[in-house]
Amino acid sequence: MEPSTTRASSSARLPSAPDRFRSPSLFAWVVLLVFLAFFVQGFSSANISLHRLATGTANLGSFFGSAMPPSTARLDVIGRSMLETLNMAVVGVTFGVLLSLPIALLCARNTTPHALVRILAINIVATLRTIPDLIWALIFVVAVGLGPLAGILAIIMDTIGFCARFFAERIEEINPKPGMALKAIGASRTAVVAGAILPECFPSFVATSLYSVEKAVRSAVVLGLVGAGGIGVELTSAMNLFRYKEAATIIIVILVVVIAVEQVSKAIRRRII
Amino acid sequence: MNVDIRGVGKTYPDGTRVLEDVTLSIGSGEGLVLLGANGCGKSTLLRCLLGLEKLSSGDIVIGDVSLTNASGARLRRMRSRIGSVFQQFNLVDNLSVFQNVLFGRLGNDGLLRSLNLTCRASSRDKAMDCLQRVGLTHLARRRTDQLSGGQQQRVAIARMLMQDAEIVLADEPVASLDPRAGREVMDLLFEIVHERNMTVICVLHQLDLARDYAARIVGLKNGRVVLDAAPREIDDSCLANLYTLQSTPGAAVSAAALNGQPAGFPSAPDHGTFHDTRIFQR
Repeated sequence: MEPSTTRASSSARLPSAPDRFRSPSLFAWVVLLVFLAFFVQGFSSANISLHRLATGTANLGSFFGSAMPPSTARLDVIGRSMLETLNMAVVGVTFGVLLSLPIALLCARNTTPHALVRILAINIVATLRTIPDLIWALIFVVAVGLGPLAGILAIIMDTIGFCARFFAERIEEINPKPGMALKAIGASRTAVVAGAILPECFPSFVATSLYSVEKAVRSAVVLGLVGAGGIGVELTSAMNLFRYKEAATIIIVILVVVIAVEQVSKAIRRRII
Repeated sequence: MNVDIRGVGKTYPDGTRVLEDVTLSIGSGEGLVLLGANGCGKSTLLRCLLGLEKLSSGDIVIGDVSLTNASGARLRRMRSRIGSVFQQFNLVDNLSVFQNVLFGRLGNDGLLRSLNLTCRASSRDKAMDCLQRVGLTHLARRRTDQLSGGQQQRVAIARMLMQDAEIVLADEPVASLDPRAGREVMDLLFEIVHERNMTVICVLHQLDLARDYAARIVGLKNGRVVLDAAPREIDDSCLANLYTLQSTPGAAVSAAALNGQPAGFPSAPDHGTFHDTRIFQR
């Protein structure tokens, strides 16, 4: 028999292939319409016009013009507040990570003492994560006053929201067998967690914590904008007083430090994983 | 130590019956090999012996302690006298060989006295002794995941030695090893077991190994004991019968049969492997 005839006769018996294009469901149409409505409304209310963009570009040019060359007059003050920013990040993340560990154990399905505890812990962590760090900073500035303490507390909250979640997810992924073996030896719950679960998760915990340091440095820079200490305080006052040359220095210092922190953290992570 | 299994039955909440009226009396120092097709209840029986599964009926008495009413600290103390060797070794990968051996003391001495940093000097010496017995002192500092399968199983045996266990439960201890490494591990395990007059319950799938090492062979089928004799009294037809298709209820089996899978190894519902994922139950 010819190969072509075989193909023809077998295709006759085949059910028809799916259509090339399937009309979207009603739900998809609704989603699309809502999206379009939001987009059009947002675009028009932002008052976007070519004229404004053009003058904006010109203003930007004159800002850079007056910001160059950056001034080195107050480099020592800027250096000190950059150091304060780093301090805030490191102290905040350290406490945040330490607090995240027990919370993550409560959140993880395989280590939580009770399903209700788990739901409660997960919701607390989700709340911590949902509230942006700037808002935490505003709240803590009210509570403990201006300065780095408010920033540190804000970073702690932010770190718990981030780390506790990722720690818990890692704990849920563990290989249960080594822990089971320790349990069969007669190990207590705590011993199983400390002896089998945490050692397996340790490299991942370190990697997550390093990410959180990077994140915290970036957020510590901004926290100063609402008075929660760090280099942001210097940046707002420089901008408000039209000292653009000083502002340029601050921005460059931030850029250098953030990139340096990211590189260091990347190097450490590579060695651990 | 004596192990008395008295009319043990185990039914899972979904109605799957895994063990039915299993009665076995295992004397101190006896070497017993459990045979049976996948899903016949061997691993569940081992889990029951460790008190990791609640019995549906019957009782297990180890030494003079009944497992039925034991819980919490008492159950943990019981487990500390039972050493386990697993198919997948089940060592903690990120830690050193030495630390893994020290973990053998967890049931007896608690967490702090089982960590290399905080344990007694005598425990450290004992751990080196145990490693020497299995011939691995030179690897004490190595991480366990850098070891070969045979070496990892030796570490698991050293951990069991560290435990001062009186009973050994071995769940397919050589199933992940090549035949030669498997023989070596079996030789070592049974040498140690005889030296210390330990009671052994060993699940195996290799019939030749079962004949060579067992003093008594017990066959399970459909959760029941269908064979219990000394190796020399058992002929091949007896053993073949153990592995013929079981009339296990359940869709999984019939589906497999419909798909034309070879009879004899029904894909039993995967309920109670020895290493269940639920670490923190009971």
